Amino acid sequence: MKQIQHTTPRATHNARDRQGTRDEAYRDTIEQIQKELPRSTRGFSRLIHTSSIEKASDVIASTIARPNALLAGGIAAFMIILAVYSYAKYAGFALQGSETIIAFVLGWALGIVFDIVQRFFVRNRD
Amino acid sequence: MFRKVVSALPFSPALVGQLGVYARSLNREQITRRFGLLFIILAIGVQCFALFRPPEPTHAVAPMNVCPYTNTLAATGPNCRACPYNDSLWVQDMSCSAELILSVDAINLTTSTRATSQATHADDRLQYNLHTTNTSSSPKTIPIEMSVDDLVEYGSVIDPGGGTLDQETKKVSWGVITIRPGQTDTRSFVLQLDDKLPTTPQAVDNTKAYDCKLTTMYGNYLSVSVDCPPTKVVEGIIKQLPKADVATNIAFSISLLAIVVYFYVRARQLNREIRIVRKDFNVGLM
Repeated sequence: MKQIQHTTPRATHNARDRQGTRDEAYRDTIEQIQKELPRSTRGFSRLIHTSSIEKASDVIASTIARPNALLAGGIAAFMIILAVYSYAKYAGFALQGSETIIAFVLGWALGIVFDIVQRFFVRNRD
Repeated sequence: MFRKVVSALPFSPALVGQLGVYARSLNREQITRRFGLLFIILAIGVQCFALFRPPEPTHAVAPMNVCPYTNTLAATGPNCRACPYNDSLWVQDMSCSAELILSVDAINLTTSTRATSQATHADDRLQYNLHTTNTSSSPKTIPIEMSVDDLVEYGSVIDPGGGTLDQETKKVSWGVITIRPGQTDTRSFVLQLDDKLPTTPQAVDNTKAYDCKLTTMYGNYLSVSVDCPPTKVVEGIIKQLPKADVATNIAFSISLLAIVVYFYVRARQLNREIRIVRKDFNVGLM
C-alpha cells in the first residue's frame, strides 16, 4: 500500500533554514577561495559563481556541452574536413561548405551516445 | 556539482573523500576539454583553408550552355526548342514528326540482361538498339544518328553497327534512310566500358558529365547506372550535402569556439579552486 508522506510546516521551515545556512557557507567559502586566487582570475571566478550563470553553466556542461561530446565533435570535424578537402583538392571538385558543421554534429552525437552507453555500463557494474 | 560538494563540506567533513573524487573528475574533464578545444581550432583552421582557397572545380568539355538538342546552338538561343511530338528531339530535326516513333534500349552483353536492370561494371559491353517506326501511310526519309558524348566518358564505341562515329561531334550516324509505311528500322552499336573507370569529378557547368550514369536519348531517355570507383562515392555524398556560405561558417565557428573556450576555462578555474579548497581543508582553515 502506498504511504502518503506529510511534510509539516516546521519540517519545511527547517529544510529552508538548512539550505540558507549552506548557501551562506558556500558564499563564505567562495569568498575565501577568491582571496587566495591570483588577481587575474578573480573576475572570472566571480562571473562563473554568479548564481544564474553557475546554474546555467552546470546544465549546459552536463547536456549539450559535455566534454566527450565536444571532443568527439572536434576530432570528427578535423579528420573529416582534412580528408575531404585534401581529396577534393586532388580530384578537383567543389565543396558545399557545410562539411565541417555536419561532421562536428555527427561526432558530437557519437560522443553523447558514448557517454550514455558508458553511464549505463558503469551503473550496471555498480 | 561544485556547489553541492563545496557547500556541504563545512557540515560534513567526511565528504573530503567525495571532494577528492570530484577533483579527479574535474582534472579529467579539463584534459578532455583541452583536447576538444585543440581539435576544434584545427578543424576551423582547415575549414578556413577550404573556404578561402577552395579546390578548383572541373569544367565539362560540353558545358550546359550548349543547346541540349543540337550542339550548334546556344542553350538560350530562340531556336533551341524541343520537338512538340518528341521532347528528346530538336524542333527542326528531320525526325521531328508525329508519324515517326523513336525509341532506344540497351542490353548488357556481358551479363545478357537489360542494361537498365542493374549497374554496369568496368569492362562490360553494352549494345544500344535504336528503333525508328514509320506510322504514316507514306515512306519517310530521315537521318538516323545518336549523340554518344555521355557514353564515351566511360567507354568507347567498338562496333558502330554499320554506322560511323564522328570523333568530333561524338555522334554515331547511319546516314539518311527511307522507312516504308508501317516498317520499323533498328540500328545497333556496341559500347565497351573502360577496364578502369575514370574518377573524373562531375563538372560544375554540366552536372550530367561524369555523373556515373550513361545517359542517351533517342525518342526516350535511357539512363544506365555505372558502378563507379569508391572514391566517386565520396564526391556523390559531398554533392548531396546542403550548401553553407561563408557567413554561416563564420557564425558557427565563432559560436562553437566561444562555448568550447568558456567551458575549458571554467573547468580549469574550478580545478584550481578545488585544489585551494582541499589545501584549506587539510590545513584546517575550513
